[in-house]
Amino acid sequence: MFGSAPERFALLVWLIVGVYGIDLGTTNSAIATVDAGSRPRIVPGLDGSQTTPSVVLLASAYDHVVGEGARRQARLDPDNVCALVKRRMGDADWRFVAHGQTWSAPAISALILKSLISDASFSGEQVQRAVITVPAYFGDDERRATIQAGTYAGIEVAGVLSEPIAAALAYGFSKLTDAFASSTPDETVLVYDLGGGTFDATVIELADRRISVLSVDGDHQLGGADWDERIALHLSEAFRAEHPDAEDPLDDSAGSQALVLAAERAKHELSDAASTSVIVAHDGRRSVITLTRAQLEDLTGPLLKRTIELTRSCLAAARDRGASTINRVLLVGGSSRMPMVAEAIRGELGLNPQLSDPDLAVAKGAAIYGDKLEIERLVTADLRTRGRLADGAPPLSASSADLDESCGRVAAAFGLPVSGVRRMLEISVDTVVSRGFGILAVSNGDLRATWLVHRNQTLPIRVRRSFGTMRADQDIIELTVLEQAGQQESSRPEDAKVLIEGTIRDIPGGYEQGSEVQVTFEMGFDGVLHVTAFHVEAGIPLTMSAKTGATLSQAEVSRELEQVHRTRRRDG
Amino acid sequence: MRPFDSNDYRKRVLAAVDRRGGTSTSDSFELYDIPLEDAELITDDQAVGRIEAVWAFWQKQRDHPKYRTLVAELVKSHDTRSKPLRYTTSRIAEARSVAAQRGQRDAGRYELLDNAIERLTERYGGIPQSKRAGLFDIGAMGGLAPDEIEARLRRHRTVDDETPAAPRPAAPAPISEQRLNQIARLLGEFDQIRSGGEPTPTLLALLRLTLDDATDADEIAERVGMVAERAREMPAGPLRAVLDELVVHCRAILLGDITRIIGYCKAVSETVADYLRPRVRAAVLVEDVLRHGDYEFLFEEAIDRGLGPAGARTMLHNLAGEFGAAVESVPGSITRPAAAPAPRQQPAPVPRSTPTPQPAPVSQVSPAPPVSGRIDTTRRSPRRQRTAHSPVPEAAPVAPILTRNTAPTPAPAGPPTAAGLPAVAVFGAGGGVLTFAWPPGVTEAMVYLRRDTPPTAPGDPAATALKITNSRYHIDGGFVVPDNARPCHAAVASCRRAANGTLEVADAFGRRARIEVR
Repeated sequence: MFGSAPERFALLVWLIVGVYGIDLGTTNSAIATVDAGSRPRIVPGLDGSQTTPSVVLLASAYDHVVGEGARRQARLDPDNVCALVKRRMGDADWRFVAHGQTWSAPAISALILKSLISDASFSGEQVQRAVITVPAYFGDDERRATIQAGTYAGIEVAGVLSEPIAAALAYGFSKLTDAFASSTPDETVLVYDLGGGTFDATVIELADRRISVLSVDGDHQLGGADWDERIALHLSEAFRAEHPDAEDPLDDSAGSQALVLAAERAKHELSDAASTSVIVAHDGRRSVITLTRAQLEDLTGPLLKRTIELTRSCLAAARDRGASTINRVLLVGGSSRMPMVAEAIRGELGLNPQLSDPDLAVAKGAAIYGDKLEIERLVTADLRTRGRLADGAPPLSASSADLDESCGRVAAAFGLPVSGVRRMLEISVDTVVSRGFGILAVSNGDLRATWLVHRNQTLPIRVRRSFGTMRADQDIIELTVLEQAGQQESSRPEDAKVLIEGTIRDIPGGYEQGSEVQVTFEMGFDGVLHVTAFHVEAGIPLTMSAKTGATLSQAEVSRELEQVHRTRRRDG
Repeated sequence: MRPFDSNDYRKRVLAAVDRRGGTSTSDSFELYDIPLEDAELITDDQAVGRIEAVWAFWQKQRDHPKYRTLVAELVKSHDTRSKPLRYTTSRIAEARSVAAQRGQRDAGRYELLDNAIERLTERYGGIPQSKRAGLFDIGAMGGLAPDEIEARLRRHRTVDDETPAAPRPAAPAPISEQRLNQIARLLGEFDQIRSGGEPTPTLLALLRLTLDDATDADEIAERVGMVAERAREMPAGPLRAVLDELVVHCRAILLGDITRIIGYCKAVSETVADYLRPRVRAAVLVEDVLRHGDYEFLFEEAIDRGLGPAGARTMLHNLAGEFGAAVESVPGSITRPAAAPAPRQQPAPVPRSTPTPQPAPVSQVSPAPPVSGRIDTTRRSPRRQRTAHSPVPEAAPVAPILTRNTAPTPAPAGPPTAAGLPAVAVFGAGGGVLTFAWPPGVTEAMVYLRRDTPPTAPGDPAATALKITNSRYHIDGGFVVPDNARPCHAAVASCRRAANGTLEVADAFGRRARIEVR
């Protein structure tokens, strides 16, 4: 029925859906798509807002509220409200228990994703595939948990993209996609991304059709929420100083929710004003507490200083890779709006930062990347359908004429300029590994972490390591793969995170001691590690069974999937 | 057992534990909110249900501004703490043990106050009006509430003898109150995360220094650099976050403008003085003399709170002088106060080489051997080692008013062993640094060193026992075997604290707990 190549391509076009970009943030999330000109735009929520608070209220065993409605009801039902869940991604043991049900971090995150997707459908957007962003400093477990959240939400996760890269894509959109942009000078950009719960510093080289990450550093447990907590503590102390006999509001569920919300509001107000007044009412007492910007800076100065030190480290690593000058500093993430951030970067680093659409840049950049992935997929499918591209080969390896023809067909199918399609195909994004990984090995009689891949090495990475069997007819090899957990490599095993405890099994018998077994470590652009093994003499791949700490069992996944699908979102 | 109410649990249990400075004096029944008297009455399912409800509540508090550090510790030690409560037999046994410990604690609470009341009534025929405030201070030291103290005092006659109160000196500090509170809170969190080991009362104590070393900028800079470097190797978590921030404060205050460090030292001294003042008042309440036993005790208290030996001596003399009391810093030798208290000394400059402490002049005293387990394992600069002196006064000793009843008992040379502690696995001992895996929930370990053969078992009389905390382990990158102990055989056993603070060591070494150190 669809025998010819054009007919098959038409079928493919009919089946195609776009790839959306989702910023799954610690405090706020957003979803974006691209228009006909490949320009990114935010898909607003039902209430017209461009971001959705990443807050979930589990109202009962059968329904839940997401976003602003959940925040509003937080005081009324504080024990069933889950916020800052992104901080728990990758924590295999963490669960949120409500109404007799347990929820992992990916499951709670899935409810936020489903809410974004559902709201988008009211605007006529059918979200089936998406690129989801993660902090550059997220490790393997955290990235897998994010992919799991997408799976629970019923979407295909086309890619996991680092937030600073997304921000740079959004900033450099015109440079990357404009046919005349080659006249714009190349730039080395520092992206300072201070979100609600995570901090990333990234140095990126932005050139004609090329984004290259040179270095990353950060802390995925440091963000605006820490500022809120400091302010809340201060407000609590001030309230108790005035009312020594009153209960501490932080000891009460509703009281602490109210105080943290008040702290967040005060922080926002101090971005524009030199002082603000906060009313704290609890236990029949009332205080009006004045908070000045100077006090805020005093309370939270060390937190800011930590971000500056991490940025300094990132800049030093970039210098080692040849980037001695920073042309631009982009401030991303809602928390970077605080005036103290720009002042500190100017004062301590001598750089002049600019706010770059801090709340929406990441989602928009993810949408641009999603568009690129989609165009690659379409062009690749067309080339393969016409027999012009081998399986597994990248589209740019096809002949120029074939490539032009495919780009033309894709452009025609979607009403896009051919040059735009070609250019999107040619955009390359190089990134680096955010954390080194290695293996546990015996060295001089001691068990030590041996690092095979180091932080800031360019992705994708493929490292091969050979092991020799210890005795004849050895049938298993045990392997422990580690991920660097600190900001600096340490040879102490206890400083590292165990990624995989694996057993290479079914090694064929009849081979001498010292037979070579090759283990290959591959990490793609998404930063997720894959390990395979191969027996050289026998010439066969070997089975590697791995136990990773952070993944859920099949039974748990099935249970959670059913739970996520069963619960209904209701309006807040 | 009433249903679990999370809001009530936070106010009643978490707040109380937090006020006491952490879980060192808590037991599992308190933490899991299971009434002791219900231990035998509830079923295993009910016990597990309560344990799980409390655990779920802790998980929801992981980002609570006030309790997140405490909760992180509770979550980490959940498996160990909850184990004895899950099954009837172990739950009943645990309940009996906890009941005994609580009884001891309660009895100890009134001991200090009753001793002081007895001495006053012997001397004055009742409780002098001027001494009442001091008795409230003594009672508070024992953990009594004001109404409990009042109830106790009402049993005795009051003698009218009002005397003017000693003036309270106040000194302004260039560092804001907020900043000082923040530093104190961070240091408290640091100690809480470590759950054991010596307290860290000041930024200088974090660097294993005292206020006497405050102006040794080179030494401070070197140590701050070491802590910062070590922090960068550590995985993300509460300990690293706290250390990162403390390093920021160290750089800003200890290595900043000279007025900042002077201001910080003044603020710390004021805090220590405020802490010691009621204790000095209590100690001199009866005889207007700070007797040697109490002086020694308070001297250690001052050192524990960050002062150096010189600063501690000066402060105690000044505080005693505020109450017109003499000081017996050396047995039999009493120093009367001057007309006005001596001015507080600025921190004395410390030479580049590591100073040795000035020993207290002791004419008839044979110094006792150092308490085993206190040898510092920092490989960079040897720490001053405080040796205990056993006072041998000529006259019959006056019983000290102050005792260490409520302080955790330091690890003795041979701490008692206990079953059920997890085994430690040693990784290696390269370069004289012992590395091993810390079992979940274990924060202290005992390392046994022996020259001739591997230690046979924990408590091996032929081995030297040295205790290490997990935080010191992380900072130093392992257990540093002293140079003069190598080569040797080493073995490691895990430890835990009983509810009364006694250190218990595992009764056997694990299969991979021994190693040779060259």
